[in-house]
Amino acid sequence: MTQYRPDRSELLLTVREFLDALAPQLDGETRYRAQVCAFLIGVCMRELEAGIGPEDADRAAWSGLLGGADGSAADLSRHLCTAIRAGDLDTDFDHTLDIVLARTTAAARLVRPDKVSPHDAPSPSVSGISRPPGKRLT
Amino acid sequence: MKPSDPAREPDAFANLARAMRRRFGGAARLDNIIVPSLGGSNRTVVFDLVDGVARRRLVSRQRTYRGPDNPFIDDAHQFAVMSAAHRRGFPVPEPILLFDPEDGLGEGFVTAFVSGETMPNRILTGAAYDTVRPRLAGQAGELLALLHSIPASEVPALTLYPDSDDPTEAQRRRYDFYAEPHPAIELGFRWLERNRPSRGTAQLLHGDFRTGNLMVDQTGIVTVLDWECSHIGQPAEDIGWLCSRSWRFGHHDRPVGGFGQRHELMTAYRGAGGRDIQADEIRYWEIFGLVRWAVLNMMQAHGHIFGGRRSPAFAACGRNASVIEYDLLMSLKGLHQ
Repeated sequence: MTQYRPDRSELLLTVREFLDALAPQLDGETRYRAQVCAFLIGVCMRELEAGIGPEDADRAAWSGLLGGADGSAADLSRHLCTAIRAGDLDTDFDHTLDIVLARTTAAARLVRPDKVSPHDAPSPSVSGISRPPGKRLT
Repeated sequence: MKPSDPAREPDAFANLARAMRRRFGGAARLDNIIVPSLGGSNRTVVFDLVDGVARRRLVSRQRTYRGPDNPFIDDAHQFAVMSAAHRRGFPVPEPILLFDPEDGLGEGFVTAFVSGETMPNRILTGAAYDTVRPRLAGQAGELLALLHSIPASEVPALTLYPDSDDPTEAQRRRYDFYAEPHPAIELGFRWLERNRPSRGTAQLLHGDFRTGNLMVDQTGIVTVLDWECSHIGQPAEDIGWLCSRSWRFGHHDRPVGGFGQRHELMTAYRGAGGRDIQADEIRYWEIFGLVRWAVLNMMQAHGHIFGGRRSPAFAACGRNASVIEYDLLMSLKGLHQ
């Protein structure tokens, strides 16, 4: 991280503020694109704020479903997909669903916090799984 | 939609003008040309065809998206399905002509222009549609029954498409093409495999019959657009897609397209001759719809990153897949209806 301000998050916020102010002055398709770009900046800001927590939680969750397998989150995700497809987790389908839902909820909340309301998000009460960020990020 | 470059037959439209003259005679010309905002897979041109004192508003659609993961049927087959529907009195933009190689316009076709509202938010919340909205579910049921009564044999080419053979496997092949593992989508596929309903007689399906493709005016649904996903399959697939969470645009108290109730849709469907379809089967195809929609969002993101179809909206689709997956898993758990 640079010692100079504004930092990365502040730079992104600057761009988003500009796009938010610009969009109403545009028409039709261009306006829509500016709004989508402001939204994409928001996703980046929320991901920056979340840091490496979600990836670590993914890795722990997938490893737990794979009997403690080791590897990166991406590798374990691939192995998990193979296992689901092969039917290896059929007997534990509901448990697998709970774990994947918890991680998907965390991912969706970074993208569209408004679509994942706190009251209907599942409570991942399973050991080894980080609770999705409870703080409402916008 | 914001028009761009209204013009009187500039060079950009020379091939289109020539294509019209080939069919309608040398005196035919184009006027009042508009290029609406682009869709992801087509270039659309709206224009008046003028021949002497006669003038008719038409729409040209040229395909711009080709790729091995392309989920859309050939334009010739779209044209054939729309023609079959039009012959039966189904509200579809009247098919006028199909481009051929001599036109130099690639794949595409021309239909009549139909005016009305397609924007979901306006239809679902606009005061102008308050009186028509309660009738839409019933009308959708009647239209689907009419569509599903058209013999699939009228468009035999549709049997060639993977969606006509096994729609779940067709989605999975597209998903595999992106080589991007998503445990939530895999769970969806696995559930679909293990809970397949028994197959009845396959029928002609629209394939994308949902809010956004239903053009509405003060009388109700005036036209059904976008036939590029048409195929042969179980009628409940069309019904489940319309009821799928993604097409309610947040109005989950009105599960049919954000405008109506399932019993309204199905009462009208059966009343118009449609098959009796159980709630479990509709739910199955709603789940299928969420899987399919997640994969389609991956497709748009893949096109943005690798396919040269750059667009902020397509970039957003890649991340939006997580929200659809959330809906999918919440639905599988029974926490979303």
